[in-house]
Amino acid sequence: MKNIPIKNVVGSALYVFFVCALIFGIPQALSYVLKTPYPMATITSESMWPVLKKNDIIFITKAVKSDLRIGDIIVFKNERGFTIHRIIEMKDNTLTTKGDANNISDLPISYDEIIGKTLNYGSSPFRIPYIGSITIWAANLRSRTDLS
Amino acid sequence: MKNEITSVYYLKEELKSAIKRNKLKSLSYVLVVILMSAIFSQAINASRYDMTVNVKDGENILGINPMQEKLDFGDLSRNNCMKRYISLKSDGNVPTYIAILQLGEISDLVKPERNFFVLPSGNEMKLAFEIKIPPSAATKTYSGKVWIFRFPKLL
Repeated sequence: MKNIPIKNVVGSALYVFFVCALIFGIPQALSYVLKTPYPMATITSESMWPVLKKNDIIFITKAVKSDLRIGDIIVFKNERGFTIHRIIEMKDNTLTTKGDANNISDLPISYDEIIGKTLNYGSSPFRIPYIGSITIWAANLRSRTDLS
Repeated sequence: MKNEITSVYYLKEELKSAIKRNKLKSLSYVLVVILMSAIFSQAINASRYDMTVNVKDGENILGINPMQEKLDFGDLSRNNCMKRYISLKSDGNVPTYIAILQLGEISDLVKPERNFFVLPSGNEMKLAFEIKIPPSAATKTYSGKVWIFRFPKLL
C-alpha cells in the first residue's frame, strides 16, 4: 500500500473545512450583517419584471416603518410564503404593495408582517442573476423527495 | 547487487504507471474532443430564429407581421398576448429530443409551449411560442433569438 503524505491529508481536510465554513458561514454572516433571519431570497416569479427577474438572488436588510418609503421593494410573509413587491401606498397601520408586472395591487398588510427591504446598489436592488435556479432546483428536488 | 535489482523494479513500476497516466490523459483528450465536436455540430445544426416585438402605448394594439422566417410578434400593447408557431418534424427512425434555448431581452416575455421533450419518429408538430406583455414593459422593441436543438434520442 502506498503511503499517503500527511501534507496531502492536512491539505484536503483544510479544503473541506473552508468549503463547509463558506457554505454554512455565509448565510450566518449575512444574517448578522443585514440584521435579519432571512438575508437572501430567490425570485420565483415574473411579478417584479424587469427590475427583478426569475432566478435572481437578492439580499434583504431589516427595515422598520421609519426606514420605508413609497417605491421601496419589500419582502413580507403571507399564507403563500414570501412576497417581494413594491410599496405603492403607506398608511398609519397598513401599507399596500404591488408587483410591477401585475395589474392589481396586493391586499394591505400591517408593518409587523414585513421581513425587510431589498439591499440596493444605487437605486436598483442588488441582484445576482441565474444563481437562484440552483435553489429552485434543490427545493423542487426536496419536495419531490418529501412526497415519495 | 540487491539495490540495483530494487531500483530496476521501481523503474519498471514507474514506467508502467507513467504509461497508464498517459493513456488516461489521451483518453480524456479524446473524450473532450468528441464532446466539443458534438456540441459544435449541434450548434451548427440548430434551427435559429430571430424574435422581435414592438411594445406600443395604448390599449388592445395588435399588429401582426406575417413573416415566416422569424418569430415576429409585431406591435403589441401592454396586457396583450400573442402566439406564433414553429413546425417541428422528427425524420428518420429514431425519436428526436428537442431542447429550446432563448437569448436576448425578449426571452423573459416569450414562453415556449413545451421544452425538453421527445418528438416520436415520423411525427410532426406545431410548437407555440406565446408572448405576454406585462404592464411594466417599456415602450420599445424587444428582440432576441431562439435556438432549437434536435438530438437523436438513442437511449
